[in-house]
Amino acid sequence: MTATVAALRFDGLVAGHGRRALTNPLTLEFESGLVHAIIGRNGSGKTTLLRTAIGLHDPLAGKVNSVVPVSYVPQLTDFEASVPVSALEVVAMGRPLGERWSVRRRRARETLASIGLETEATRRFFELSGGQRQRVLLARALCADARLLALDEPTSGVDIDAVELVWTAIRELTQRGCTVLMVTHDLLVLPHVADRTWVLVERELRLREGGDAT
Amino acid sequence: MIEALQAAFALIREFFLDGFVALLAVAVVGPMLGAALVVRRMPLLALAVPQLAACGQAAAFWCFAMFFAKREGGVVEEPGATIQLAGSVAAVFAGMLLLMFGSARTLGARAAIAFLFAIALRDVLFLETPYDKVFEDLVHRGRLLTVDASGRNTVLAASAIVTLVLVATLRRNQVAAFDPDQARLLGAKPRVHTLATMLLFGLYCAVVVPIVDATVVLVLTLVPPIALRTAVPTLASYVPWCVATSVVAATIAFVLACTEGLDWPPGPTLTIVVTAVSLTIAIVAKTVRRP
Repeated sequence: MTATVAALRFDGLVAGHGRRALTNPLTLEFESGLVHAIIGRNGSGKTTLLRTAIGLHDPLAGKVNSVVPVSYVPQLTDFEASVPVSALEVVAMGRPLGERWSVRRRRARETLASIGLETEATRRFFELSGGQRQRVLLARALCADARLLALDEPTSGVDIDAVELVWTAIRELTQRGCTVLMVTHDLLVLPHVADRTWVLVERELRLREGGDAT
Repeated sequence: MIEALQAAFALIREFFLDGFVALLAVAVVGPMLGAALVVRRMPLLALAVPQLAACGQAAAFWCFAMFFAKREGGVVEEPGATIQLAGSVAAVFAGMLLLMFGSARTLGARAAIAFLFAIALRDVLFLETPYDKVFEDLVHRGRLLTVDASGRNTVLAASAIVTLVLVATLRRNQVAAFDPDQARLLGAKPRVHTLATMLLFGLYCAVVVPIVDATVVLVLTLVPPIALRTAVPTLASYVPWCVATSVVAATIAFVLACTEGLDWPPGPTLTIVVTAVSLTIAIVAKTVRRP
């Protein structure tokens, strides 16, 4: 795999909550078309850094440059379960707000079919298994033609049998030119999935030795 | 039976058509607003705001009786629609402003307290005025049968404006309800939309409640969206099902209220029928959907 262009660049970025900085100023680049995994202790600021990287949190200092469009898959527990929404509608939410419903629906159907979930299109999102839900959310990124995908614990709440399918879907995204930035605790599969592994320790984001799988 | 129904429809056509049209308008718009509030986990706000409007209306009656009303031969002049509207608008926006203070997580708890407080204050204010008869009618019968052409037009205009705004912002609201982060990435502002929805609901209640009564708005706004939330499979079908349920139930309730021999009070009848119809549809839909 050849990767030369940066999909995401931090220029002195400081991530944090309120006035509390969780990182020192970070200046680094994430190569495009690769899977970048961020690991670290609980509370070290991984999720905050991830959200800051894609513009969902304002940085305390510095700036972020990234390719667009960006898609984000939060943890499965972060969704409002009382919303009656179908798998097809979730995928269609990746499309721009002003797009016509007929176009969005067609794109969403095609995307669901491409990952083998077309039979689940009209099922309620919250009635799907954890693995299916995660794949639907990855399909949303696919449907959005995302160039950068941020994932927060993508295998959390997913059955062991379905984890491989989730990783396959993530791999498919990178093969289409999407850069993946994810926070994970799943250290066992990390060497097989992540091209770069970054460790957030003592407020610094360091590339782990041997973390380059390419 | 058929003759009784024909007589009821004739009665509606001749005397209560304005009230029926106003009821149908609220039956269309109420569930649309309610669905937006329920998926944003704000049903308690939907409970409190109509009562705040009713409380403001009572305050308008109280102030008018205290300071402005003319008394002739033991009859006390009643405040006009504009004064009632002013009281309602002031109470809704003062109440909502107070509800905004504090954490968003405890908004529901504050709204529940506001609901109880508004009911109690309305009772006290009305009982302190010479308008006991008006209050008795409000509590026991609602106001649907006394809606006039001017009230009907006001309800229709408010409903049309709210419908336009809701339809224009439907997709943004749906994405923001399910996944606020995705909405932000698409360029929407979920907090602004939430605030705008709350203000729109407040304004609608402030205008409509003095005309049709708080119970009508409250029941039609809350019951179908809550009952059908777990029964429908898609967001696209959620609002249409809520509106259809609400319109059918409101029509049945109004006809029952106008049927000779039954003559049920419209307000409580509406509560009973809307709840029964919504729950029946929800149970049937869930049973049909179950594999």
